[in-house]
Amino acid sequence: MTQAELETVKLEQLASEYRRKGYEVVIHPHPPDLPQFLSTFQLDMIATSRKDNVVVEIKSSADLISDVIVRLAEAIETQARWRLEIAVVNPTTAQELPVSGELVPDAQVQSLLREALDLKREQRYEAATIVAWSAAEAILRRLAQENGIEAERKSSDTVLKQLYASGLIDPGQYESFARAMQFRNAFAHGFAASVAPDAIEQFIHDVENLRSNRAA
Amino acid sequence: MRVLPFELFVFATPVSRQTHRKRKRRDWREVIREEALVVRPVGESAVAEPIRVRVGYYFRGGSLDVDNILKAILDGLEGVVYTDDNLIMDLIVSKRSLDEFVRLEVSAAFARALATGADFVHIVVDRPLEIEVLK
Repeated sequence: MTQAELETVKLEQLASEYRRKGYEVVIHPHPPDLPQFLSTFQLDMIATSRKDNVVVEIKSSADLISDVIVRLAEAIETQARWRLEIAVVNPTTAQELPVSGELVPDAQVQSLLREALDLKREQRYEAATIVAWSAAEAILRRLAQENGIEAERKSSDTVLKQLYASGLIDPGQYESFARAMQFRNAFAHGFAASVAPDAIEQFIHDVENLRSNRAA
Repeated sequence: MRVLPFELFVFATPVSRQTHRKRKRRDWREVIREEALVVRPVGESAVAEPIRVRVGYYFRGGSLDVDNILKAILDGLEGVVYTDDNLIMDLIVSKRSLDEFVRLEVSAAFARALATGADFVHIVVDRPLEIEVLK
């Protein structure tokens, strides 16, 4: 199902739910149907009753990063007996990890880091970051295993947060790795993304430090 | 102005109670404490009355176990919002993934937190329910 289809299905479900509870529901209301304080917004649904009134918005996770929602919430907050409900709906994402497999050995991690540095010198920044990330993730997962943190079937993001939360990587390393991971996630899935040469150098440096500290 | 109800948003990846380095846990507790001091009304001090604490952890991507992050949060609030952990009558902790289906009742402050795109912890301290029956 596409995001638009998911949002439509969820909107219909919530409309039915509010109608069952005795609300009068209008889906995609036109400005004349709206009170003055909402007239500049394009809304998914309003549900009104004697007891209270609800604005319902259906959003994806990415849509939440929006000034429009902030303005809408601010407008609603000025009105008694009005509230804002947001239903967050997201398409199912593909499982990113292989079903089984072994982490690359430490010698290969070193080799990957050398390769990343070579690519960086050749100004092939995207490739350098992807190769360095491969080395980084092997180190992160091994570090987790060695410290009793369950990481085998966890996403890269979860492993990174758990290592940070456990004090095994510091805030600077966390930021550097998180930035590289965000680039990897976008670039590897065909989305436009760029990475600054300085940031790559810092990232490779951080990965190498983590590797050598682990080995020490 | 009174301290309660007290509301705080903290934008940082929480640190676990089970952290391998004690200094790290202290850092996270200090983040909570410093943010709480900023939000607490000027001239007010920690309350010494029964309270309810609600903690919501909102995230994208991977998450941490709620039980492991709670202790540092409560430690950070103690002495700033309430005088003693023992005053907590109700404690509600939840986490919600913003990558999955979730329904949120959204205030303006909460909308501003969502708009940052970062993981965050939402903390509300107020008075306990007068009647509570577990069902």
